[in-house]
Amino acid sequence: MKTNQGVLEGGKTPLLMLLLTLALVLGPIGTTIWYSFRTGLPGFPSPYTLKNYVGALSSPDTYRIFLNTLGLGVGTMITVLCFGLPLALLLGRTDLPAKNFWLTVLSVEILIPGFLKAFSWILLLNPRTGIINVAIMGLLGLEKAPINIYSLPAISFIQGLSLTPPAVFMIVSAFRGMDVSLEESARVHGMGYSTITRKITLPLMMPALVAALLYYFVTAIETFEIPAILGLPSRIFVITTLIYDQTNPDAGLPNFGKASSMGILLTLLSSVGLYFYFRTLKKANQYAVITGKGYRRKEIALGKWKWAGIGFMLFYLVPALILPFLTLIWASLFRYLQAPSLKVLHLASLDAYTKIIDAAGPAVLKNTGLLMVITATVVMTLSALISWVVVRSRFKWKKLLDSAAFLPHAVPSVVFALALAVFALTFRLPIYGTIFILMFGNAIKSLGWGTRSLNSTMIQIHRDLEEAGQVHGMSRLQVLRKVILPLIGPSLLNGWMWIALLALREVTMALMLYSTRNVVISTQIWSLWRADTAQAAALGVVLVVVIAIVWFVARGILERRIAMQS
Amino acid sequence: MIRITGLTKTYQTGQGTVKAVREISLDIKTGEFCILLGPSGCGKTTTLRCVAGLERPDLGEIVIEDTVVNSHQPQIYVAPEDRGLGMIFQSYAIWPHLNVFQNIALPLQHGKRKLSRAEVRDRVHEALDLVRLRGMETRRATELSGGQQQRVALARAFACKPKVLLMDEPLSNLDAKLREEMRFEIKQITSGKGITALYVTHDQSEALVMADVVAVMHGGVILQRGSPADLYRNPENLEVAQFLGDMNFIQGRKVDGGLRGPHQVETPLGILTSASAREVSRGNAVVLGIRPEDVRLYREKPQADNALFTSIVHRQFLGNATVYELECNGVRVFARATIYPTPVDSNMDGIFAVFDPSCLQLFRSAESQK
Repeated sequence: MKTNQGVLEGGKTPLLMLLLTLALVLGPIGTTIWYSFRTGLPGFPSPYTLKNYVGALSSPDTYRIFLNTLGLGVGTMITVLCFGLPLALLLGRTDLPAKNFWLTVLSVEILIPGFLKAFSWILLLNPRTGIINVAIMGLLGLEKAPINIYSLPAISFIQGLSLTPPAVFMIVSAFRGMDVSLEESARVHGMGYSTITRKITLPLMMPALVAALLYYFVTAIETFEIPAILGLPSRIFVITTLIYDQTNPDAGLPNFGKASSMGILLTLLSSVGLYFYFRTLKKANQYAVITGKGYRRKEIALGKWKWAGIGFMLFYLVPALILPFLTLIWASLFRYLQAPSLKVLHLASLDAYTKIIDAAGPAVLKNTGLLMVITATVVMTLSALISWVVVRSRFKWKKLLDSAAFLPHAVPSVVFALALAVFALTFRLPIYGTIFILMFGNAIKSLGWGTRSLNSTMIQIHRDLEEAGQVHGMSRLQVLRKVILPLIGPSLLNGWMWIALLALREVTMALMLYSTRNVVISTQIWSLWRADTAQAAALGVVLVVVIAIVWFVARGILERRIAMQS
Repeated sequence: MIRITGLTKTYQTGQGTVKAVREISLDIKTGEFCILLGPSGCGKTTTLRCVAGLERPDLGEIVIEDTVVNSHQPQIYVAPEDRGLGMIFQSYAIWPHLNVFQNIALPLQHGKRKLSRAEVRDRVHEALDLVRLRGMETRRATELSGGQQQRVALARAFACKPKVLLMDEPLSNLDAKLREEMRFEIKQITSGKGITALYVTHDQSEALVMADVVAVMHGGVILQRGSPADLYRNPENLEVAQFLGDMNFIQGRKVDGGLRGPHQVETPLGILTSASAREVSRGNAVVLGIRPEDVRLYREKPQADNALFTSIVHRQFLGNATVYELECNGVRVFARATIYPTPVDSNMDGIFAVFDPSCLQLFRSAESQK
């Protein structure tokens, strides 16, 4: 029997944490479920009705939108598979040169907002003035643009490109968890690399791969920004954009009842996906073997195929990152977009950059700064407390607490923002329309990530380290200050930075809960785009550069500190 | 120095309530090295952690140097940091963000002890001298080998000048050779400084080598307490006999002899005589036990009680001894011969074995105990 449980049982705090978390998570979601059975505006009396569901389920539009959503999910998944699997194999299994560089580039790419890429692609591929379309039309003498960016396949492809990096990290870590001896024994018994890959590695990888694809299928049907930018102009709706359209209609009153019922249906749909994801993950974990320290997987030597490997990296990075970013820079230099050529360079100006502070506006910068700092601080504090209870205490309902903290992760951002809006309106909370409701939304959505990352940090810090301090005469507070905080500090900072940057790039909830008082940089770029493309592009370029620099520097410093302790 | 009375501790687990420790009592004198020995899950670590104050017992009293640190009535609980202890953990618990000096100094600077800077330096140096790690002050804890980490943990505990030193399987993560070295070193330092020690292990040889007093635990209770030699020569019951050293067991029934022996026991090997002083009435099921080194081997039939002719099934040469697996009437018995030349030739397939009555232990068998 394990007896490594101490007197640190903590009294009533865990129970309070549980109730707080449940209230924060279930309050908005419960209100939304309740509201999906009503019509009218939140906060005003209205009868209970099944109209929202009946209306949705009896309308052919709904089925088309569901098909679109599924199509988007499948299309994204296929794109992620086509790019993600080869990238994961290259980065996880081979001696590809400059692997750490590529991995850092991919991690920065996760932080670059999808809406900036979508805007760039419009500049490149819109049917009338898209730079590539115009070029091809000129080259081949076509009457019509060959590629239409405002279409479901294009949306799926671009969304797939931007979800590939996190999928690569997921698959690479599955590769690392695999028992190397399974392959070595095949090799000893006379099988070659290609046979081993086909007969051993891939079958063993299959559950992890399928799990990753399911996860990104769910993520794809939950995302909003890319289908909104590329789908709404040609009125191609998916569920998330429909919800947005219902709550922020071009004309008329918002229909929160219908939006809520669609939100519930979307959540159910993604829950089914997540159910299969967790089932597959369980199977994948059966194959995973925890190997001892000092073990190093033998990497496949690429030899002269090295260049093919680098080629594939670029084959992915050019459309996913380089081309959109260059387009953004190009667009930021011209008041009116020009086809790239040397002849137009004399028209280029840095006006958009010199006016950037005014364009963003002090209120927006202040909102953004507050959003980042407060969200990250609240999430990491709450996560640290929850993780401590989950990992260390003997609290009876700690599993429930852990799940409650993870639950918002399973609710699509659009739905969660809707839930917050309905919740705040119903109970007439004064936070509606302020920056605080955005902090609230971002914080609760990030709680799942925060607790997961701190759980794994806390598990690594052996309880003995605390008890050694206590037994030798240090009070609990001194142990916290001198032992625990220094040990989890780097992880806390790392998580803080990541969540702050995610809040900086977040646009879905910011748009759903948009008001003139809570504009942040992401929504500012979004609304500037139509009025002043160059200015929006310049803001986007600065945003990307800031994110990249902060992340590169932070990772450099923190990783060294984390590495020093392990 | 340490007095434990009626200590009880239960846990709530997913499978229900587990009684980890049941009303145990133990007295440890000043300067004594006491070892709690038992298999995993026997409650030894829980007992140690109750003494440390890291667990709160349900019932019972713990007194450390005339101070009641735990009691049920009146409710007393002294926090771990106020008990004036030193402790070595199984994982060593070396703080990875600090160097060697800082690891030892931290409790002195920030604990209840709060010494001046000069005192801290002196204490740390003294402790490092003791464990022969002088000159390693600025090494990072993570750069140390397992043995060195162990020594830092020792130094940290000694630097606190504790009334009582607690150790929770401190050697179980070391390799065999280092473990033997450290056994000796820990014992030497504690007895040199006159420190009272409570040490938990499942390794019987550690208990035999290091302890002044061993308490064998099983199922949350102390089965027997005594000096290592006492426990080895006179185990009180089957569990202790099984746990400490090797022993051959022979099932039987007492057929004749006085209540306090000598006992005549009917076994598959015939009637055997045991000189054990244990009280057993006639007709009771018993188990006879003899250690392999107590089995004497002879080529010719000797004039002695309990002499049997056995066949040699297997022999194992260990260098300093040879172990024979003998068989007689379906009963297998191990004999350990250390004298050279051994009385057994390589071509022999049978030999006489003698179980001296004074070496033949007698236990009540498990069924008759119930």
